[in-house]
Amino acid sequence: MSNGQSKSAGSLEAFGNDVVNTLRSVFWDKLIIRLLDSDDNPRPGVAYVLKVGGRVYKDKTDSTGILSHRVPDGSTTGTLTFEDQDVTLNIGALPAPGTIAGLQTRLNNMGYPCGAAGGTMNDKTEQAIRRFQNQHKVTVDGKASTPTMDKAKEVYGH
Amino acid sequence: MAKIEIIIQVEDTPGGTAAVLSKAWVYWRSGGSTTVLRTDETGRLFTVRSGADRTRPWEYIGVFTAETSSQVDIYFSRGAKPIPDARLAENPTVFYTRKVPDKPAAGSMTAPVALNQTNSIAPKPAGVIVIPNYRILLTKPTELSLWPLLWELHNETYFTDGLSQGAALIGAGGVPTLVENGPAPAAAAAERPKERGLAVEGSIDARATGLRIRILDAAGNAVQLRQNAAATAGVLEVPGALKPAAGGLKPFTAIVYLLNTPPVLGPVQIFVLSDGVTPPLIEAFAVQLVGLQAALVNDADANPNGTAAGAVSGAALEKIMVDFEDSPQSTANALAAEGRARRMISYQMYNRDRALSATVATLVLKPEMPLWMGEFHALGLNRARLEDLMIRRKRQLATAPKTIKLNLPWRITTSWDGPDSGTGSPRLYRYSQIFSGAQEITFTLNPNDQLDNVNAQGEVEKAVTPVPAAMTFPVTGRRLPKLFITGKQRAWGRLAGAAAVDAALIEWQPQIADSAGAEILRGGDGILQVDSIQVDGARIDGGMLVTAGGPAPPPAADPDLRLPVFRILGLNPPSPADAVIDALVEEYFNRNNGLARVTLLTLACWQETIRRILAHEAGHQFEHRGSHRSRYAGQYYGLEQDMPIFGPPHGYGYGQHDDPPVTSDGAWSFFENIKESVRRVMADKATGAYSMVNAHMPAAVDQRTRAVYQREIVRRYNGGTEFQWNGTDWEISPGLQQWAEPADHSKGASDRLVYPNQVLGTGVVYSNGVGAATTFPWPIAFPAAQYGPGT
Repeated sequence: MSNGQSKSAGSLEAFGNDVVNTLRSVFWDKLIIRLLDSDDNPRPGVAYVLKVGGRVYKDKTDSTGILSHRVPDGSTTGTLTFEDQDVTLNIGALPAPGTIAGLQTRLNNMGYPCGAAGGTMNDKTEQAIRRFQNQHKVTVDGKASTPTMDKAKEVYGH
Repeated sequence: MAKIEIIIQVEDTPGGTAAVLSKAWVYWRSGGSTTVLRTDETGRLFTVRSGADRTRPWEYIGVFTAETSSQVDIYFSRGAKPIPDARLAENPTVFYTRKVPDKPAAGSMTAPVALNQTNSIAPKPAGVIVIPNYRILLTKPTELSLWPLLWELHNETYFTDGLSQGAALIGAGGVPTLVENGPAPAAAAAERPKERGLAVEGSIDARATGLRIRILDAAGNAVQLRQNAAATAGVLEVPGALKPAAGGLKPFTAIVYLLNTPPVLGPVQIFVLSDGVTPPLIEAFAVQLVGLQAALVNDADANPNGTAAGAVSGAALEKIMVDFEDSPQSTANALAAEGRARRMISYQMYNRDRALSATVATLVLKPEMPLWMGEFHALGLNRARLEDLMIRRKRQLATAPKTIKLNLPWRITTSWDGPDSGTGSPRLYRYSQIFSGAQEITFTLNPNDQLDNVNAQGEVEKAVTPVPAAMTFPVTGRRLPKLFITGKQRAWGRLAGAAAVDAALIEWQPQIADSAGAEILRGGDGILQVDSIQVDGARIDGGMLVTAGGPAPPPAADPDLRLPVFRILGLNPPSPADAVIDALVEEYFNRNNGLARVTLLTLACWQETIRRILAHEAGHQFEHRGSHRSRYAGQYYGLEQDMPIFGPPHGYGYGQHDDPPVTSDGAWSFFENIKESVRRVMADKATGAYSMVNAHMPAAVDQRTRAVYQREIVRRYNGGTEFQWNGTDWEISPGLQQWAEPADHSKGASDRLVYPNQVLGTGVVYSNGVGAATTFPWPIAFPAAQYGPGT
């Protein structure tokens, strides 16, 4: 579903655009975002506006701080606005967990700035790791250790 | 109350463009207490991790939040360490009062996310507080560097202060009025080297009309300073001098003189306070103050094999050494005026039984130099402090260095001017020789932020280049030079009772050797210096000296460290040194036993002859009768205790080498002097004598021939010839001046005539009568009764 084509578009066109889109959306991928506060706790009830693939979603985060929407196939960017914060979303650009780049990207997203997620350790990444470790009671050593990777994966969500 | 994170920005002018306050200390005073915070590169504030060192920026990893709309007093600084609490407390007017915003500022971010799985996003918005900017910069020393404190070099007057000199030293009898080698009284304080001033340079916000400098110890307390080099009273701060403003800054300079240095050595902060600015500006810069000095120890003091370290010699061990600055002179008074007494540490040579040579295992007494080890001290430095400094450098300097590299160019210079070296004479024996060695020391921080290669003894291994090699002389098993970073203390300076503090100790083993690396001996005056010390490729700052024109940096050509001149004393072998002589004669005899000139005399005869020559020549290698004068041919020579024994006009050492002139090996090693004497007798003199004798050699060599040969050699050693062939036999007719003074016969016969008698114990009559009435009954018969011993 990554080429922007629906699974059975040709056979559904006779039902009209709205119906078609609604049916298509059942099969779209989900964009799931959890908003965290300064202490990395979930932020429930935060009003937001999500714009992806020409669609606009307005709602509040649920009791676990999560917003979740199916977004049009082929969407690669989007924007999430809440309070006075604008977040540009690069959809599908998250490196795998367990890698330095994956760790850097997750920490950046969670407000532990590592700089560019180039996949190599640097002073900025080390300091970001130290802050994350300190926040989550992992031994503070600034290293991309397995416990740190695991904790980052856990806090981030995957 | 709601809480928000805070970002600090600074503005150069009120209402002007605000910029992020990056990587700075922020002092947050709220509710009567002040909290030290740290900004990251975005200006966001962080708190220190629980239990961590609050002076380490990288420990500021805790989220800081403040109550919205609350009032706070804020100040900031950009030094490597925060301004100590007490200094902030005594400068309460530096703070700016601000209100914490009631909501975060708008923000934006970019977040790569994945589909179908949870992505957590936390922009962590923050409220922005803007405060006035200011700048105080430090350029000398640079932050997080070693800040060297050095001593002045010794002046010439230090050595002579308070000691009789010239005619007051050399009495009417030509001998010193002071006790040579006796304890020297301490030099007056005014003549002792003093600590140099510590130069501080930087620039300060152009609004300042003045500034003051304090030095804060590791606890943040201001240490006692002196207003200038001459002051003895303590002050807590010294003024800096401002220069005209440029680019919004005024350059400043200051000189810091410490009142009581040892406790201060270590981590310090240079605390700058502005004048003329409201509110005032303060800043603190962190450096590692190290007292640098050199020392020389003689391991032989601890044990003769140099396996353990000797003690560091201080001023209390200085003794009175007498010499003559310019010898010879034409009058006794003129020579006395050249007499000089100096306070000096002295090191005596040693004598030890060793193999005669690489190929002859016979043990003979041989001289050797003191078993020296040079020491470079970095006082105030130990492992913990160096690691702390290096960790900070790695994390806080732009180049993130993981090493500190020292380059130490060592040099020992030995020199001596012999009694015949004066400016008014041919300047014969004088020498100066340099023995140098360069060390590169690299301290390395390992990935665990620990100093690399430190063993249980506190030694840093593998840090010195070139890697020290075991010395092969004068004895095997000597300890190797090492580098210690912990477990060592050294006194600051040379005064008795000087306080000792932790010190990094870098040892250098001087090798007194020739260009081929072979052991040699040298005595006289010695100087140990470290010329141009470099840290990470740059020469250290030499501080400030007191000059007639005011404080000034030292001349670039001056060494950074130099010990006061010391004296290297010779040591005579027990007299007579017959065993050494016999062994060397035997070695020469065996090595040349195919030569007729050698085998013409038996080994025993050679040994007897040469023992007698050397016993008569000097019988010693070094002056042992105390410094005194010697008169010869109208000249007065100054002879110095424990220096090569001298006989006018140019004789040195055991064999009184004069023609050819003595070498430095012959001057300072009795072994080399005797060895050369043997060569001169058995080669130089014997060759001429043998040529003469061989012209009339009987078919069967008899005692008479050997006696003639022996006596001729003896004569030739002192100069001239002894025998002539009268057509049928040998008769004595010396080929040298008969009269002591050819132009004045009243002085009678030359003393040199009877030299063969003196050496061989014979009684040949060379002259009769005295004074101008002296007659010379030449040619002289050479009866069997006058044959020399051993023939």
